[in-house]
Amino acid sequence: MKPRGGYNIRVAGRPAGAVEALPEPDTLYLPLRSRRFNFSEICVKDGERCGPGHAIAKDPENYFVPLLAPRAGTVRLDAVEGHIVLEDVAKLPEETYHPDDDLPHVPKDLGSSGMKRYKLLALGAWQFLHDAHTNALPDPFDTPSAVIASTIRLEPFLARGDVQVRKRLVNFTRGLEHLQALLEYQPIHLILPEVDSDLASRVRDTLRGHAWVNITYVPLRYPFDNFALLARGLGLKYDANSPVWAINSEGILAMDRALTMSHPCTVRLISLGGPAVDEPKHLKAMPGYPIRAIIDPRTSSESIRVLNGGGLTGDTVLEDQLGLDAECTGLTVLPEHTEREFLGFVRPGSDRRSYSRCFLSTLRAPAAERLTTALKGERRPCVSCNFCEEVCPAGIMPHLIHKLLYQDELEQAELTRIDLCVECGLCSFVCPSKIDLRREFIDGKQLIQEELHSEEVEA
Amino acid sequence: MTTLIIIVAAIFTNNILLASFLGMCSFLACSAKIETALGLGAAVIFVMTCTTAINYGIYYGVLVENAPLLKTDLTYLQFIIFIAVIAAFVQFVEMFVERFSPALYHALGIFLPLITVNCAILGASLFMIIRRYSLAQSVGFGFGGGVGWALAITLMAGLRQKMGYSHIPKPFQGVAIIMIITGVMAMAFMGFAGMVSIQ
Amino acid sequence: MRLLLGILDRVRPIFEDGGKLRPMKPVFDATENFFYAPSARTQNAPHIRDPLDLKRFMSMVIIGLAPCVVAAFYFFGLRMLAMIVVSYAAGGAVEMLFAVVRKEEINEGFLVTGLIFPLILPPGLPLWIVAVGVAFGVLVGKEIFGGTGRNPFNPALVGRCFLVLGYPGVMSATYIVPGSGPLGRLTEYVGVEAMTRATPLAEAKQGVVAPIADLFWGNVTGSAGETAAIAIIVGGVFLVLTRVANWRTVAGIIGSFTVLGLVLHYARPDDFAPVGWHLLAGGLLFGAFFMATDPVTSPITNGGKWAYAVIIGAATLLIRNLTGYVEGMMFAILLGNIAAPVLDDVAVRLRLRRLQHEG
Repeated sequence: MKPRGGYNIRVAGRPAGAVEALPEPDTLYLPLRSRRFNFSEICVKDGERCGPGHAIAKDPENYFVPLLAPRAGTVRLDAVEGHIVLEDVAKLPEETYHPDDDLPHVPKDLGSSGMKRYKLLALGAWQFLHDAHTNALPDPFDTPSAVIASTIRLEPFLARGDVQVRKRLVNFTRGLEHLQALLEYQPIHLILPEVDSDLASRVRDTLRGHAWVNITYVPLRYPFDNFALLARGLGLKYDANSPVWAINSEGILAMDRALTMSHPCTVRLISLGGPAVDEPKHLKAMPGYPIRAIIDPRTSSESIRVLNGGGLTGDTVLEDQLGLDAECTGLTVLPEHTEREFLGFVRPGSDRRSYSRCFLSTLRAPAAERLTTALKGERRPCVSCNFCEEVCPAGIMPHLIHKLLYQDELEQAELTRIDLCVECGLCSFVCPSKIDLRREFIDGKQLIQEELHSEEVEA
Repeated sequence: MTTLIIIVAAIFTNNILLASFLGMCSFLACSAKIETALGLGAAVIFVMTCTTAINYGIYYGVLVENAPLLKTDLTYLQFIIFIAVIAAFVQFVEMFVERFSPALYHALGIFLPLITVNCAILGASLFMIIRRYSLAQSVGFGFGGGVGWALAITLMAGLRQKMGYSHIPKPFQGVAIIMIITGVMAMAFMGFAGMVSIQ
Repeated sequence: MRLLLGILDRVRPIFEDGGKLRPMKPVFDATENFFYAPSARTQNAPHIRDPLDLKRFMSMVIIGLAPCVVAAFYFFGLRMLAMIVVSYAAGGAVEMLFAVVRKEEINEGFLVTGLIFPLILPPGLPLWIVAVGVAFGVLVGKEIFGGTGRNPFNPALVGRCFLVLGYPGVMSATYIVPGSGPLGRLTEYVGVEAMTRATPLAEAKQGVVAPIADLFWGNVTGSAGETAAIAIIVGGVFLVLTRVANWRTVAGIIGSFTVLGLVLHYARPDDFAPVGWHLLAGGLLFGAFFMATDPVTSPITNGGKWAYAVIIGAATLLIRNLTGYVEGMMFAILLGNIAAPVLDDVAVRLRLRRLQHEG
């Protein structure tokens, strides 16, 4: 694979590989919305006592993927807007789990393959799958043209694949075998990092005999872990009729958990990282875990910004989101920008890394820096410095598309392949004019979809 | 002066639009997109080359005193005759474009027949009379003039596309800013002055 | 430092909405953000950003110009200081006027224009002509189009072109003899009462060829910043290494100029001086490193930049030798700026054809 562009950002606060189990919560706040899902169909009544692994809500527009209750608790539907609150949460292992009781009514005519897919969906393992090109949830009863299984995650700071797989190589292999059993000879492309790591060689040794796994090595440069880029790099073109599935390490472990042990998948391994965290590490959490309870004991900075996700693509956690959502893979905590440097722009800058070579840090780079939410400049017009184009992994010209979107030339923007953008955020990161390119492209793509393609759908 | 020198001069040194300022109206109106500008430019090149040739023949064959065909001095009819020839030719070009490139025909709209009153075309014919060019020089001048006009309108179309990102003040929007840009283009083309002389 | 920030905080309400001096807010913002890093925070993902901003970008250009400015002071005296002050004042006044009327911020591009403009003028030029030139250049070359980042032409060159075409006599008769010795003219303020001399390119048209060593170290007369080739090369290479100036433009200009020069010198050695001499004489190096590489007015694609550079290099040589003008760099760069969008159009089409099979 010959990737292009990309850039590694060194931020202080890289989570250590150690995993800390969070203390059992008293209350769980399960948001009804996550990045891809909107669990609008609620399956429980207020005041009901639900069991662990019980599906309390479903998303009707995404093949009824369920929101599972991580623990037993009393359901409160109207306590917090947009959340289902579970009170008096039982601590494991007081209320034991009975797998057959909680599996919802199973249709009779599925066959064994269909039964497996149904189990994956009902036990909360299906949500880890993505369509590589569109990021949507694939149809559980469909067959893909190929599957990409990725063990790497490069954005600072999301939960890393090697941390999850480290002590669970057997489960990982079993999960891959389950995945392979769902397919009919379609290849599974396993993505390993292009470095000599102990874990990578152990994975390679374990899978040596399996002919249905193609191993591909990818350099560890952000954002080469992006599914769409991996698909393009492997030569798998976008075709609406034969989708390419993509899954991460935690998804493969979830498949094993669901199909081998028939347990619901409600444990989430998230990373807590960033310059404002005292001891960045990985945490064993669950959806609905109160965010305040995670953040407050572990940061000592006063004004902070919590991002749901990584530093480049994560969005600010809003005031009204109280618990981890169903798809959360990490929390990045940044200190807010308060200090104003005197004559900041003429400082030699040996203490700050830059993509450009305009600082002394080019000669001797500092260790990871304590980055804040400072914009570090003011919004200016584009000067076509071409940094965004150099760093773009998709090979498009972000500055040109920005100028076209500015002039409302939607057709031209579409011709200039705005659809290839994978929204990695590197263009906005390096832009000296501080233009929010990523936001403009997300809005632009949506606008193009509405204005240029909605007529096609209606016609 | 060889024909080659005349062609080079007509494109750069004596650009019929940027140095003699002929042919401005369709230049101002049709220079919004590069494809349209190239299409109009190609039409103008064709018309200018052919009409200079035809007008040369008519002038020296019919209108001049002691011409082969008539013996009287009818040079005062040159304006009307030249315009009539140009108009007929443009009709012919219009039919051609409509048949072979309907998209260009619709994009140009009224400005395709308006090539008739494009003063650059009449200007080329009149210049050849004033400067007493031979037939080869006249056709060369017509061709070079057309290419120079096409070059200017294409460059202007590019600049207008680049200007889409600019914030033009309200009073200058439209024709005014194009005039200013034409002025700067003319200033830049004055750098070629003296390279070759065709006067 | 804190004291200044305190003063700024106390004065700020006058410039906010409802304050007495509200229209002058752009000036206050420019001053505040000059001294203190802006307080703006990120609003959308990505929430962390690279430290490079446009102020730093422009500062790199000013650092690159520093050797030329020092050389100008050494050779042509304190008059350069007067010209620089007048240039910043007149151009800055135009910028401020537009910022206040349009209610937008003053952009940093002017820091570079104001410094480059005196460096491309004859050192003895009357100060009022400098003011007229820079005001015209900033007005017609930049502000009419909406300010930095939105202009198609290089503003300093538009101003200089206006002066060359409007005041040709003054522009060709005010070249001062350069100073020499340990201090040069560093302590002198000379006007054209000091001896004027024709530039090396003008002398070449009469058959007198200045020695290459003089051209390299700057012992010749010419526009204020372009005489000392060594200073230009040092500053220019700095800009190319920091990637503020794109190396393709520089390499293309010098390359096409050299190739065409070699061909022409071989064909007609009497009419065309050797390429090495031509490279160091006149404004070619200064234009190649500092003016043609302006990212806003040069093409935005790499292929376009190569074609642009070839056009500029060839046009400079042809205008120098075949027309009545002595120096062709200014016209060549303006021609390049005019051709840039069309070159980009072609390059973008080719690029999109390559991307056709992606995704």
